Amino acid sequence: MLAMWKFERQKAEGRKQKAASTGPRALLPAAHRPLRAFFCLLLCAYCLLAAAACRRDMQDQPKMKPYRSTVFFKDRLSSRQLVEGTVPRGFLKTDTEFFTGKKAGRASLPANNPQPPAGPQPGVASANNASNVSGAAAYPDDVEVFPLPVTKEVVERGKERYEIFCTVCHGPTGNGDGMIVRRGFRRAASFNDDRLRQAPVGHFFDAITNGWGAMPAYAPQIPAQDRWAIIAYIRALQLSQQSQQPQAQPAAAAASATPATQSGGQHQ
Amino acid sequence: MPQIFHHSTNALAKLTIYGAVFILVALLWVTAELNRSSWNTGQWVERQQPVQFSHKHHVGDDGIDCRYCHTSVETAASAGLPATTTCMNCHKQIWADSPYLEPVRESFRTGKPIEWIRVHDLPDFAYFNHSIHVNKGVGCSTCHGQVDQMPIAYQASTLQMEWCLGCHRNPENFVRPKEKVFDMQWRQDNKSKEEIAEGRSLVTKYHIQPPNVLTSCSTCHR
Ligand code: HEC
Ligand code: HEC
Ligand code: HEC
Ligand code: HEC
Ligand code: HEC
Ligand code: HEC
Repeated sequence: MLAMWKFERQKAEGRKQKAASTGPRALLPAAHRPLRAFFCLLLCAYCLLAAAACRRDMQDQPKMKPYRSTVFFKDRLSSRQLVEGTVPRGFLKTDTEFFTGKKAGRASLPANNPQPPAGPQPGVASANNASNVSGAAAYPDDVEVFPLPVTKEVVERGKERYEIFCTVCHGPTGNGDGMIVRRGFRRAASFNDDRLRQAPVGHFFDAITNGWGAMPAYAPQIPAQDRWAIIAYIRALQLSQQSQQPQAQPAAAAASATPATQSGGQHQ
Repeated sequence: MPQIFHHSTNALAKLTIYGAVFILVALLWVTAELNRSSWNTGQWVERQQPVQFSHKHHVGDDGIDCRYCHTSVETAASAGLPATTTCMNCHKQIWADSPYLEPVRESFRTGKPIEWIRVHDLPDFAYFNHSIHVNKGVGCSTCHGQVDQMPIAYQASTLQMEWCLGCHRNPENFVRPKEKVFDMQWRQDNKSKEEIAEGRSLVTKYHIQPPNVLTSCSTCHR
């Protein structure tokens, strides 16, 4: 059977050759044969192109890039959590004032850390508390001076970071009326009332790092250096808003009547 | 035996052969177009995500900066995606019982990350880095389009090599002042002569390397 087929084929080819030597010569003179070969090649190349995208091994290499999942670990995370009790190189954070905003020696005593209030506690009037203890005395553990030199660059960096992370709630001027508050978030504290004007810088650092009442903690999103820069800018904001005091007075009065400031005086 | 074909068929046959050239060219053209089409590149295709997160709401309506969520965009190759706790910053309180946010709350409870579907995905043999672009005045919207108006994220560029090179050859047509990088309203088409001249001065100001360096293969295939 196979032989048959072969034979038939040979016969057919023979016929074809004969035909080529007589008939179509007019159509394709010998000089054009390279052209035909060229077209054939081109066609082949074209077919190869079509086959080119079949495997994607180089597109999807079995390596781990950020956020890529893996089958190697049970939790499918390619970026691993730190092993408990280990410290990555360069993250020892020995400078407690810089990294916690607490006076050296106090930070390690958890009992001394003021606990953030949990949500609104309407029973407490803010005015009384604020007048009882004010300024640095209300936050005895918190550092009162910046643990880094405050330069123009630091304040500018702080402005940029403030506008990324804080404006959404505290508003561009720090009055506590940002967009998210307008959408139903608990009213954020106004940086322009007296209690926060007199609060030490470490208190702000504490609020950003660990959260404060309804305010979420921002330590995962903002590195310590930038947190201090933001505080430097808040101080600048407070000064600039103070100089506009006459106009700002009604707004400040309104702000002090809101729940945000009520929770303020509870950390004695 | 009488002639089957009329004499004019010779001309016709010749025409077919030359016509084949055009057919091949047309085929090549179709391939090139298909290669650039969204069918191949995934451009404009909206990807359904596990959470119906809308940049239009969060960026366009609420004015949240890109860096609030994509925190590493200025410092690393990857722009970074927000952790579940970042969403919970706000959603612990607002829309706290919206059914759309159930996957977020579940992730918060269980500690399992939300698995977002990639929208942009370069092949692994190409190297891309956000920080260099963002720090040299290439804005998000130049590459990602008007993200603040996307209810569902899609890819606004082809992400093909020719697209990267189109800018690496002439960065002056695209760079903007650094403080405008996150500005979604920055206009990039129909640049006037002056604007391109400004672009050129920015290229020198930011020390952007010459095209022969930026288009050398090892810049992106390393
Ligand atoms: C998601 C909204 C939100 C964001 C973003 C936010 N805050 Fe707050 N913040 C609040 C709320 C709400 C309060 C009031 C908390 C309370 O009284 O329970 C508050 C209170 C504060 C307080 C006052 C603490 C006190 O003694 O009363 C400080 C300081 C503060 N925030 C700083 C910041 C800084 C700095 C940023 C930017 C890094 C920031 N906040 C971002 C919502 C926010
Ligand atoms: C509230 C947080 C948030 C903000 C603010 C935000 N994004 Fe996103 N972005 C996300 C999340 C979550 C995803 C993943 C889900 C998705 O693709 O829709 C994402 C995805 C993206 C993607 C697609 C990533 C991919 O999969 O390839 C791009 C591009 C992007 N964001 C750009 C921006 C830009 C530009 C801005 C600023 C104008 C911005 N984002 C602001 C949270 C945010
Ligand atoms: C030069 C063009 C370009 C610019 C400018 C740019 N991106 Fe991207 N972006 C890309 C490319 C390309 C990818 C795909 C990266 C990959 O697949 O590895 C991407 C991916 C992303 C992703 C997905 C996560 C990741 O990193 O893979 C996010 C989120 C994102 N971009 C946000 C932003 C934001 C926010 C900005 C503005 C600050 C920005 N991009 C500016 C080109 C750009
Ligand atoms: C800074 C505050 C903030 C952050 C952070 C935030 N959101 Fe939102 N989100 C909002 C606000 C405000 C709305 C209401 C949108 C509107 O109507 O303008 C909203 C609405 C939504 C909705 C629609 C809810 C509904 O029922 O219609 C979803 C889904 C959502 N957010 C998901 C997310 C995810 C996922 C993240 C984390 C990547 C996130 N959000 C981070 C403020 C935030
Ligand atoms: C809109 C303009 C633009 C686009 C689009 C663009 N780039 Fe760039 N790219 C730049 C500029 C500007 C620089 C900065 C060059 C410098 O610093 O000398 C740069 C730098 C780079 C660098 C670092 C070069 C170095 O010397 O280390 C890499 C890598 C890179 N781009 C990859 C890509 C890839 C991959 C794409 C396409 C996915 C792309 N770029 C798209 C403008 C662009
Ligand atoms: C600006 C960055 C950049 C430079 C410079 C660059 N490439 Fe690419 N190249 C890319 C990207 C991005 C892709 C992926 C394109 C895609 O996904 O379609 C790519 C893909 C490729 C591919 C695969 C094509 C395909 O369709 O799969 C080849 C081959 C290639 N590059 C060769 C080169 C050579 C050779 C050079 C030097 C002359 C070079 N590249 C320079 C960014 C670059």
